[in-house]
Amino acid sequence: MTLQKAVAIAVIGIVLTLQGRQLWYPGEPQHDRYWPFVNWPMYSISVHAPKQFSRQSLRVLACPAGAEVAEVTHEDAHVETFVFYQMLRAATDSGPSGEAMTDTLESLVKRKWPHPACGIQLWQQTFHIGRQGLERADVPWVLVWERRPEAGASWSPEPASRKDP
Amino acid sequence: MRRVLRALDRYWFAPARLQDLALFRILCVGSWLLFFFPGMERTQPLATADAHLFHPLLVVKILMWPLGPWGVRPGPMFLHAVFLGTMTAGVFALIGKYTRPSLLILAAGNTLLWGHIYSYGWVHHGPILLSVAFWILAFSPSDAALSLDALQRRRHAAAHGMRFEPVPPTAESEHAGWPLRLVQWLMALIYLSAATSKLHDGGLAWMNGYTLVYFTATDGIRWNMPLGIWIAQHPGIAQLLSIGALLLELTFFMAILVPRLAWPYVLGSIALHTGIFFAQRAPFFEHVPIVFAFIGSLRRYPLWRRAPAPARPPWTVVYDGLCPLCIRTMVTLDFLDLRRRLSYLDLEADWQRVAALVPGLDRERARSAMVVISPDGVAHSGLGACRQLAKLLPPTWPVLPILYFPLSTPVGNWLYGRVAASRKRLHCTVEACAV
Repeated sequence: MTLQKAVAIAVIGIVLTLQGRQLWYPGEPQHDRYWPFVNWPMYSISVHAPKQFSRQSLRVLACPAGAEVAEVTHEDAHVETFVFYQMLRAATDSGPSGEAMTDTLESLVKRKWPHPACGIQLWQQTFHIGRQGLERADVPWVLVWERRPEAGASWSPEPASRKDP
Repeated sequence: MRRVLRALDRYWFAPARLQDLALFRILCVGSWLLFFFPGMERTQPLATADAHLFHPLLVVKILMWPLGPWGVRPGPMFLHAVFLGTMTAGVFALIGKYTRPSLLILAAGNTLLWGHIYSYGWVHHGPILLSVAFWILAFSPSDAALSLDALQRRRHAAAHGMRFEPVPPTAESEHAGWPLRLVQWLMALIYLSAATSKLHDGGLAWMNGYTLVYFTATDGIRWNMPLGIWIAQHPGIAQLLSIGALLLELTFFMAILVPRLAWPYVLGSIALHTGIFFAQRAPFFEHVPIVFAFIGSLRRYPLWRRAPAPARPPWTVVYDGLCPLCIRTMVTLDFLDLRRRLSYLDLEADWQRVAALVPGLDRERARSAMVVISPDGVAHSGLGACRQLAKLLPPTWPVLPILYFPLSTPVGNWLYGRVAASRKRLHCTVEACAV
């Protein structure tokens, strides 16, 4: 056997073993540790009608009060897309964990929003899936909660020199 | 046991076209350079984030290990240098200069950059196939065709042996097939992993239509994708699509076992990922260049059989077989002749055939300048021959206008004459001299 063939056999063996072993963990959460050899469990649950789901939107009330409302995106917050959506979902909870997440979002806006802010709001849309599929794609937004600074005050952006996660 | 090993050996090391492997290298590296490289705008904010957020993937620990303690975090400057080095290696791997070392640097750099991005709590699947494909290519003879390395090796060997032999695009090697087959199996395993997860977690109800309605509705609304919202409003169509997607994932390995099925599966795979993007904005476009690992099967079993085009009579290049520069030039022409329009005759060894093609051709004139003979027997020499060759060889089309600039004829003839006059000419071939 030539060296070239031995190297090829080693590469074939390593790649097939590392990817093939992922087949043994079909139901487990994503195996990140051995990236790029991971399992693929995304979008694998099944859903039955009727079903409802919601999406959230974090908005900033610009200063002075009464000026326009702007949506905060994951890029504004410097947070990974799906982590940001999870944070918004968690913030709709009325319990202590929801309160804590609301504090986190408020803190994020204070640190990352580049303009003075006179408050933040969390809005939510709830969609319904029935026997005919998605019932309406344009359901109205509903205000979940609103936070404002002390009367007459505003949240000002922090100096750019400070580095935060 | 021995029979099994022999069968495996026959499968993995069955001869395959070197050009297919090289083309796969060019497609993967080219698409990475254009679309799929890990940009610094993603890396730098993470590199400056709080240290406690960094949870390195195993592959990052391994790649950083020679540079510091186990689990050391790469700094922003280091990552910037890795990015520049990886992009440079990508360009070299694309053109095929120092191909294997370049592919090794590209594979390591790309894996480190993506691995670093995914060491902050969120891992994506998109870059996986290309990341692994680069490692596979680095250990394969993907530099043996369509590369400057291959051209340089052939030019050197031809000039050293004073012999020019055209290399057909069908040249095969037992080491050219396994990398492509391995990428095919990697794809099949990944699809199978996705399918088994669906059957395990969702069961057959995953294909009830409402599952896909839910996924396309959530993503379609979030990203404002009209196709996703439309599918979400049509559960019947969603059910057909989900059955098709699961069947494709579950049976993708059939494209490997039955090469005649490669086209339907490749088109199905491209349609699946394009559809997922337009319905859910989930970008898995890295899979598109990867499906060209099936290039051999796609060519052997086309979707529909076309009547073979009538063979076009070749143009003939008459070269001086005793001139090392001319032999190296012929190797370069053969390398550039992607459409196989040229045939070659050695002025000294094949003079009878040359004279038969162009009866009035003067041998001394042919010795002083390269001659190109058209299929209808018209001889072009010197600068005229260069112009004809530039028209015939697609890679040289960009320089074609220069050859027709005002004053290009006197300048070109003068330049050609200088080069032709200063070239070395031996008195005999290697074999004849030895005798």
